[in-house]
Amino acid sequence: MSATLTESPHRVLGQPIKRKEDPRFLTGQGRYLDDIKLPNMAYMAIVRSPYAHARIVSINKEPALAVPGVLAVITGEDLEKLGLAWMPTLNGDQQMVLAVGKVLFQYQEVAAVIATSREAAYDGAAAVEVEYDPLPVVVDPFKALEPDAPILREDRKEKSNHIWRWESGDKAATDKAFAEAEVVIKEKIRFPRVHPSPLEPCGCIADYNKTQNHLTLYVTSQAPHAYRTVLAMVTKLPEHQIRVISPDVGGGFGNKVPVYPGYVVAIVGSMLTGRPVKWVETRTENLASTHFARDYHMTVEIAATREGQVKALRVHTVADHGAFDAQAVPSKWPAGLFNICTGSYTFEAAHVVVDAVYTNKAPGGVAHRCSFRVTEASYLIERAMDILAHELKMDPAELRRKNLIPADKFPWKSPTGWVYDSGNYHHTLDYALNLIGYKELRKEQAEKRARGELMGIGISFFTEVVGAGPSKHFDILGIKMFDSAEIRVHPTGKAIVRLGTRHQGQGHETTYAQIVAEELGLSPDDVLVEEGDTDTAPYGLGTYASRSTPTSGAAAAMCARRIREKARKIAAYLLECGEHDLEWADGRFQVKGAPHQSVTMQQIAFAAYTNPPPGMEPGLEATYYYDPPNLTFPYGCYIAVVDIDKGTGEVKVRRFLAVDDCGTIINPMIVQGQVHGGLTEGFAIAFMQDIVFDENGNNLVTNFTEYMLPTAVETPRWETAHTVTPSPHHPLGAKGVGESPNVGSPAAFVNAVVDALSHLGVRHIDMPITREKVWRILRSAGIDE
Amino acid sequence: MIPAAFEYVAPRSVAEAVALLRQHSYDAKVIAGGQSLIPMMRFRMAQPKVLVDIGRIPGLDYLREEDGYLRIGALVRHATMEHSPLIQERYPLLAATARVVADPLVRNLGTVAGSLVHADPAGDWAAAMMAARAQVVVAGPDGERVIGIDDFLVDTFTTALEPDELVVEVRVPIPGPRSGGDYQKIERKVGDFATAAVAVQVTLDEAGRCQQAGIGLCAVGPITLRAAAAEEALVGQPLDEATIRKAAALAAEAAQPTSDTRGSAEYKRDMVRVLTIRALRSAAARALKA
Amino acid sequence: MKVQFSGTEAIRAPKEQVRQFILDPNQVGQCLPDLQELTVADPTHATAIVKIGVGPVRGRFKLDIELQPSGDAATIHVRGSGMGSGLSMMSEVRLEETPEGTNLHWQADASVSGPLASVGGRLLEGQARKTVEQLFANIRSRLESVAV
Repeated sequence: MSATLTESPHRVLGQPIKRKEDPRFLTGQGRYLDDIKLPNMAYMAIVRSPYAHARIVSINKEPALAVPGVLAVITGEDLEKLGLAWMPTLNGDQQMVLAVGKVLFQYQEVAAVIATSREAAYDGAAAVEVEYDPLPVVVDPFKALEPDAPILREDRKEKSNHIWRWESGDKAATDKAFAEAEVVIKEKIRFPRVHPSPLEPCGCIADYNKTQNHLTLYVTSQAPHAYRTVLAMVTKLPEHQIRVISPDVGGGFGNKVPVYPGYVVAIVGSMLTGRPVKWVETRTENLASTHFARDYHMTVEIAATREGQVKALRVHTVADHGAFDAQAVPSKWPAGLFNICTGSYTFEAAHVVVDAVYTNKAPGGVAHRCSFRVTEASYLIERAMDILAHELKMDPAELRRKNLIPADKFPWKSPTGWVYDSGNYHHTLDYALNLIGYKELRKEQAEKRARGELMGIGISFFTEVVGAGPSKHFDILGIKMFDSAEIRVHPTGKAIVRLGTRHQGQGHETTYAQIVAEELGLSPDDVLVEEGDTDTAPYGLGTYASRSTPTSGAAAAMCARRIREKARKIAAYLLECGEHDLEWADGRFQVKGAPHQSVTMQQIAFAAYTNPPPGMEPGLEATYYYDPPNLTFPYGCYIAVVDIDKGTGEVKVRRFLAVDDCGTIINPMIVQGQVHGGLTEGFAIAFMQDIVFDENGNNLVTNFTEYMLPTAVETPRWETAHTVTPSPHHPLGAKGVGESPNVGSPAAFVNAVVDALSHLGVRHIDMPITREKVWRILRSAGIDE
Repeated sequence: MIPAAFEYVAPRSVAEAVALLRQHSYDAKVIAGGQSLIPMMRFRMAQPKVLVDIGRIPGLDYLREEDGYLRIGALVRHATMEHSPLIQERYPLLAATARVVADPLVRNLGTVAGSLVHADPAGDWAAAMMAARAQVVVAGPDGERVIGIDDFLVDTFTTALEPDELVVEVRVPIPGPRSGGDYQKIERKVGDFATAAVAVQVTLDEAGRCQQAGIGLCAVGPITLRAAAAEEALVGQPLDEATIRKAAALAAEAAQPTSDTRGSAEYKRDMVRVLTIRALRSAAARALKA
Repeated sequence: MKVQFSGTEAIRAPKEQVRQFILDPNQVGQCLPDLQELTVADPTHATAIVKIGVGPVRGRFKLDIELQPSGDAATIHVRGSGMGSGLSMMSEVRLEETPEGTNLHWQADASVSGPLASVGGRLLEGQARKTVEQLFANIRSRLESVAV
């Protein structure tokens, strides 16, 4: 399983070919959930709680049922009778589908109105009368842990707002290292509660056919197969009678991994009314009730020598999970892969503790372009390394150079148990520093500082961990995290590839086509990629956590190689030679030493259906389930340069360089697009985004005026570059890249701002870095317009 | 995000519009660009029973200088202001404002007059028009009347308009020689409401002393505010740094900000000071060149 | 949103008359801004429908009013819902005799939950303050029109 790539005119891997799906998307021909209209379709709207914590005294459906066009009003009590008032979360907790007895967060689902038109459904929802008796609200996770805090989850046996504690690493060894340390730094660092905010909100059409006891669910899902299994478990419908179709998906970023209450209610609504029921949430519903990401309150400590050699890392995190523990992480990893927080450095010991807490906020905790909490981990260590550099009065680049894992130490086993597959960290650091002109920038900074101007340079050297499985470690609700591909080569040498993943704009239709085309000697134009229909695609766990190329990309390559083995036999038959006399070169089988004697995949495919070797099963297709032997560890060095406006506190990002190493690159243009998108997200998180609640638990950022996505005006110009260190265990050497920029960039931005202000004694500023936060620092230091 | 049901009427003349407003009174709401009203309706925060769309009334989209005024018809869009050579060359305050109203999509549809009638304290045009000492021409059942901008803007979302009246024109006095202006705005991102913004219009005398000054404050009170004490501190003075800073401090005192997600009251007040300094510096520089 | 406001109304009426007034749900109820309907349930409770708002933003709110004696004055508790949101106001009233009549000192904790707080945050505080101030101003003017 080593990376053996053919150097030939047929080489399609590594080519920046235009995305095959783009003509459809760019001309408005995409078919998204809300584009689908079924005959006799009804519409659903959800009544949501204005209170963050309140008892439900009564619900009066009558005024809603009197609205013309309203077909049904469903409440938690109605669902209770069907045994559907609660559903399992992806993290072993349970979640109310519609509120029963009380509400636990603002905008929680309380009732659903189904009507003949969307307008009537919303009028009906506005007419439902719900009487609430407000209860004390807990928004601060630290206050939730106080002994006199109101107990939020009365349904649980444990009468506490503490959900679980997770520990990783070696406490004794860490404590010892700290006791002996020459230098210790400690800082409280919060990663704000942010939201993935896909441009297309979530929605579904539930179409239940009573006579056939069959459910078709069209749904905005990143993981259609997982949905089918979860729905079979929740609804008790037989799994083969459920078909989940995820049409074109307008962005996901983890937000479309969970099964939301609205889907379950729409299914019940379809069963009750005998009609297909469409539910498409509003922007406010998406922001206020679907899965958020992060919200980690972290305390980090590093023990080091005076010379700047890091020894041990100690981390304690209070994780705000909201009203239900619904985060999407593998079962064995309650805090995801957060214990990758030793980062790119040669720590000898580490001890990581995470305490999860219930609060009166929407449930969640999804990837959001972060491979299961790696963004939190990476931000933490990269911030802490700068604080250590500040403490030691060392250049942050030098401190990193001193502590990066040397190239000859790979595979590297981290103190929390991860085995990093490959890396050439020092090379990438030097490459990035040279590319941006680090020395000159430091010189410029010193000159500016002397003149009273504020400029900062921030470095982040992150290590990502992606590509879950291996299935021995990773599962979702017990379902193992492998992935799959099925290839059928048609008689004329054209192919269709079906996969268990589901892209949301990542370019799978092109990337997978390039992989299969490379392996089979075809043109990418001759390979159709299909995902998203559980009746046709092989089982897979879906697209999130940068796992598609590491898992399904590998599955596609391995599947194509399986086909090539059969093709070799057919080629030998056609060329009247032995199999071992053939070599695969230039995208075809040719006789060793006689390259003019060759057959193409088109000729082989035609023979497979018209003239197969005697005794051979006709046809040319294969399926492959790929269970990765290890995760892959993309990494990178990001550098931000910022200038600060002394009057307003505004931070201007003058330059941003991202040097990524994601192993073998399949399509550099797609990789660049992924990097640009992720950097823009990281920029937004660093400077703009936080889901803010007031003391009543009101979510104050329920639309795009308040929850801000940067436009082209705010977004800096991105400079991108690559080093290439292939993964030794991936069939193509590819590592995955989708999330690297989100994981790596927030620390670079914050480090740059803190660097600009470090001479004023500033060590840390929590995100989002608003103008006001900088303004306070400036004014307290006597700096003004 | 589905509005409550409403009736829609599209009059073809101002007289017809006024008659419809008289008929429906408080149940009616005039819609022009709809860039503030429609979002409020989609949130069901506003539920007018009748929308009177003046967008099809001919002859309301003029933008010209006449009789000592820049006359802006009720249907002139923000984008028209932004791209008008007349505005770019002769009205630096209005040009600077037009560039930062909301975002390009809103600017293509929203109208200057509609922004004033909406009377959102974060409305950019209201602050600019206050600095420029504009007037609003209003049509009603008894003909037209002219209201000064200070009297027109009453309170949050509240103007001096009667329910059966319609704004047909906004008038800005043509600035004399040695005039300059600027609009300085802080927003968290393009399209957001201002955290704070300051509009400035000054005219200098031949000796370079400030003859006339207008300062409008945006998003720092229940309605657009005039920094009157700051204006007075400028008149008769050369616009040097000391004078500018003194006026800016007075402008900050005139602000009545409240804390919200955009910033604390303290921050907004200080931004009024900083933005007033910047706007006065550039307005003075422009006046000296004009 | 949780905010605290306070104020004083100088009322040209004797203290005892003011005290009785602010314990009468029929009287206090009629001082609610933009009142549309008032139903007195018992000597300490009433329900009201008001249509409050500003400019185009206007909604019907159903309010429950509870008046309780407190010291020599009263607490006024208003709780209700409208525009998909919930609101409450708990106010403490203190009375002080003056040569001209009575000073009514009030302190109010206002709280808003729901979309009004989420969407209206930028303008809500000012509007809440105006509405609460209006209630006490109405109490003064109503008392004075009765007293004179």
